[in-house]
Amino acid sequence: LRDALPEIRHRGAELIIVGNGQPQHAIDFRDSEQVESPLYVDPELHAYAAAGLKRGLRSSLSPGVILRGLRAFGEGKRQGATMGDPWQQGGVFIIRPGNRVEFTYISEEAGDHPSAEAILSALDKLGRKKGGAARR
Amino acid sequence: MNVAKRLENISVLDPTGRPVRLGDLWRDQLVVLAFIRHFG
Repeated sequence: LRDALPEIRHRGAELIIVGNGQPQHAIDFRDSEQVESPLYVDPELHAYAAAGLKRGLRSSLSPGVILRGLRAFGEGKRQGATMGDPWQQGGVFIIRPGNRVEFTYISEEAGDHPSAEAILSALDKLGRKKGGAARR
Repeated sequence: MNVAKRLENISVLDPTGRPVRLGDLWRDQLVVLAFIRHFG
């Protein structure tokens, strides 16, 4: 999703990344991955819980995860040392001012996340909605 | 209650450790809010 940052910003949105861990993890991540988006951490997982994101051994180790992990391993990708809570799953929301939620994606298991295309297409629809309203 | 309302009063920490209210992040702008599994 990070790679889509220029296109997200081009559509008038900001990408905000929340991670699970300590502030130092965010600094290390920003420096090693050269992340330009605003980064925050939620060490107590309060926001993850309020967002209804999943947590648990089962969602972390489903057959789909193991298959994808094996495939990634075969392709030479190795996961680095995990920081934060390894059982916490993620998710993506598109939110407009006024607490208007326009897109929701709750990850079911590790490696499950929305494609950049899905996010950009949701932003495009919002842009069209706005444009349509202006023309009416 | 939708997820934005559930989240707006929760604070997260910026990289310097300063608390930031989530709702302030989308008060004036459209955001893609991505919760990642873990860093690294």
